Amino acid sequence: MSDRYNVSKLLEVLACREIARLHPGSLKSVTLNFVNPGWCHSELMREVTNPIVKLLKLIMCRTTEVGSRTLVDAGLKGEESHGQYLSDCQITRCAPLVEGPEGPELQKRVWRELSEKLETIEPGVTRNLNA
Amino acid sequence: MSFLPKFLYSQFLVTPPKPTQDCTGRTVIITGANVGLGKEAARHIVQLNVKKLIIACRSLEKGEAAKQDIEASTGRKGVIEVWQLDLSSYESVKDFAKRAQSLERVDTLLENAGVATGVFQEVGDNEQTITVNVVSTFLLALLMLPKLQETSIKFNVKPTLTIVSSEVHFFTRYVYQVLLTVITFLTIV
Repeated sequence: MSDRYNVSKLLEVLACREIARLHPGSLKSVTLNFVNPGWCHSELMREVTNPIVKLLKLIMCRTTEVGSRTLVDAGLKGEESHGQYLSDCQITRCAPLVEGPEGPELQKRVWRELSEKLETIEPGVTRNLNA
Repeated sequence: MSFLPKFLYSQFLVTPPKPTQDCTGRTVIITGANVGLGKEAARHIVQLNVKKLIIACRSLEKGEAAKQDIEASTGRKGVIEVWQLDLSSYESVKDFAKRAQSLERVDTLLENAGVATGVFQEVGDNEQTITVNVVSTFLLALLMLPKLQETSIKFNVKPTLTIVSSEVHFFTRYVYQVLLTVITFLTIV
């Protein structure tokens, strides 16, 4: 479970990229983007007890307010950011695993599995992408 | 190892600029806006003159507290609504999306809510982190997409759907590309 959060974020990245690949430009004028806030003070790591991590947090973390600026930037960004990873308010390359040769296959597989799951939860929901 | 220099540079030397884009007339939904990044993002957006801001969170009590905090600091009342949304429940996600159809418009859906835990817990049909951060997040995205598209047509604007991800996606222990079914694997491990 130690890297579960990281994996969940990787799955988000892969799914977003695959959706954007299948629907380039935009989703009928709707932009889909994904953002990295950086390492911020927030409630996310409230359960951490490791003293080294706590010290690093103190020295290195962005304030919550500064981190939130990246979220606002992303939420108000236009079509140029469709399918893109935003970091420090700039379009940025994703992890090598994602951008490298295994990326496309990984994206396809993750999205296929995720969309099948979504279809069992709400039949017809993935058709919203094609409407 | 080129990640580390970039990460350190970012953390120590880059400060994202204060947002200045006017949000007059817009409706924005932020999930997990009762605390942390979501709450501060909500505060910025209210400050930018948004017409309506929905704080979507599990606890209405915490959402109300956040609402009052933001109203106090921005001086703007009557802008924020607090709606219940529990990403660990697919029914809650569906109910939220249904309710959102009653909104005049949705210009931004900022999916910020998520969990980070070291404890394995099955929620719904997956491990909790996957249910909340991945499955429910994209379920909400797809359910809300028609409303965003309708907004685009009715008001001639370009709505945005943002997923709050993270640079930690650079760090995963397993080599997932050899797995046939990633999400199912993560449910049993």
